Amino acid sequence: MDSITYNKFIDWLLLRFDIYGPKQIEGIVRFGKIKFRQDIEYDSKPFYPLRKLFLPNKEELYSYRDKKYQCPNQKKRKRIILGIPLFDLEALTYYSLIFSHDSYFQAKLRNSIICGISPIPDENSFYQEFEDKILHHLKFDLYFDQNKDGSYRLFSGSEEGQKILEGFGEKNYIHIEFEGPPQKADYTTYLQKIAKKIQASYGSLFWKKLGDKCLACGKCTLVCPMCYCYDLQTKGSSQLFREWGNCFYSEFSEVTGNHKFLKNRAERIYNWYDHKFVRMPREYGFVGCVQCGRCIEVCPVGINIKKNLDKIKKFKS
Amino acid sequence: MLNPLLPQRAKITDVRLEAPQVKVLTLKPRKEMIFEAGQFLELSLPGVGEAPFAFCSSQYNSNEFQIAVQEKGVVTSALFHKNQDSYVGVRGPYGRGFPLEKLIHKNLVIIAGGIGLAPLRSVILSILHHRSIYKKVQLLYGTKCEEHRIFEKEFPSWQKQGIDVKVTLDQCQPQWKGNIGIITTLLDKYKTVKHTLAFVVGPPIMYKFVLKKLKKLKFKDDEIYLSLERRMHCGIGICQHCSLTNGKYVCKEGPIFSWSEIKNLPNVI
Repeated sequence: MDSITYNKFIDWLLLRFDIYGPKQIEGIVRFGKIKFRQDIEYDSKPFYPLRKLFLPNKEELYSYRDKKYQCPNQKKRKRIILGIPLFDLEALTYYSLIFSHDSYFQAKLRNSIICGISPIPDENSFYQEFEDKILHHLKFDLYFDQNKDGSYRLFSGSEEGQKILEGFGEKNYIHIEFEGPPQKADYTTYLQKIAKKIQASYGSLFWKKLGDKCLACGKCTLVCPMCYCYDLQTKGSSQLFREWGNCFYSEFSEVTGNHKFLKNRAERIYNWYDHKFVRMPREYGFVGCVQCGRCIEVCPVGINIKKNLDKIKKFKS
Repeated sequence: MLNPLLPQRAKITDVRLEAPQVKVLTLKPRKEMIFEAGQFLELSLPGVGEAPFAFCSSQYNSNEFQIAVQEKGVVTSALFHKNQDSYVGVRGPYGRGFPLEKLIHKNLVIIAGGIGLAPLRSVILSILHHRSIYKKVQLLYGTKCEEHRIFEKEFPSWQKQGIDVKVTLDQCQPQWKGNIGIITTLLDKYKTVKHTLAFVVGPPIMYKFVLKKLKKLKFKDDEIYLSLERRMHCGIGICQHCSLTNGKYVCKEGPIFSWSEIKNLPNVI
């Protein structure tokens, strides 16, 4: 699909669906509702991940009225989400497995047409050689692979995606079947190794130093596409809300009587890694990190997950 | 699609003051809740919040069940002042209960501290439902003072049905002629027989002493079962509040754990 047809395609979509995509909001690129094609800001890494569109920061789960528990209506106009970079696509694939029994998440997923986009290739890029293989392990409806000349190679990942392309009159696309979440060579042994090293490093000086450095501001959890802790809150109304939780806050593990099980920042930052690299591999078989590096960019004191993992790998387990 | 976070209505059919600041509520949910002794439910009060509670009645009655409420936190304080015939929200049951099936060939010593007797009463009543298939059962129960004891009125009946009940008080009271001292003094005084499992529920400080004593009495790690308390929101292993460092979710894989499963985890009790 050449760039002119692509623009026509987006306009065609805008007439038929609610469109969401990355755009500038208060100077920051994040996913929001798109009115005009020109608003879409293709960014290889929007500042905030896609999470909010599937797990809103505050969401009503039900209200208690007339002696009944009533859930908000989940049926909404079909929406298309454009411009999703690969790591956010990967995170969404994982979320769809973690939240497989969550009717609120699944309703939003059913209601969404997921459109991924590749980065704009530079002269040294050669990921396209492997792209077909990666795409088999991601959940999407449409995927736009950008060529150097501004045209796109098109992939469909579902019947719904195919229908949209055919409806527009586009027949030149490749269909990909989902084969389950990403598996890397030696993936499990690699994961087990990291998990063991993290467990072996518990209580060491490494975490104490990290705890001394960390401000427990929780910014990393806000931009992480794989964080999903939540609180259930009522706050004086008859509704029950699900809100994003933050495991860096001291009350996260607090029980009645003011006892906290994650006592200090060192334990809380350890818990963050424990969740991503120990608990999630054990439960689901994948790591809770898609290597986007957003947490590195927002950390006010320069905590770097990549460097930390390198240090952890050197621990004797 | 089923919604695991959505509660159902349950009617409070009975309220009973059991001790100062402890009430036992009987609840009748619209649809029966089939639970095991040791499992818990999430109870919600519109406008107040949700909190986990252990079932304290027999697992063989799923149409109506009981919970013990200690007036302590936000939800428990509001619940404490609820009257008979009012309604609450309930969802569950959640987690893993006590392994009653393992008691067919083993004796049991139940060690409870304070309100910790609540989930263990569910064990006792479930055992009494089929008393003849179980072996020797002992209950060692400690509280600060006499008035804090819960379910005391039921002790004679339990005793009659072959539960050996022994109690102790932490503090000396003038009229009290029984045992004084922390719960481990009962373990010193009354010998436990061989081939015995221990089910333990109480405050964290009690676990420390009891575990030490049980190890001294040659209990194996997989013969000791205890209940862990954690903050819980979802009850289904997603929200992360109750995760144990390096391991498991208390809501899903607990709250009842064998000591062998958790003894190597940091900050576990």
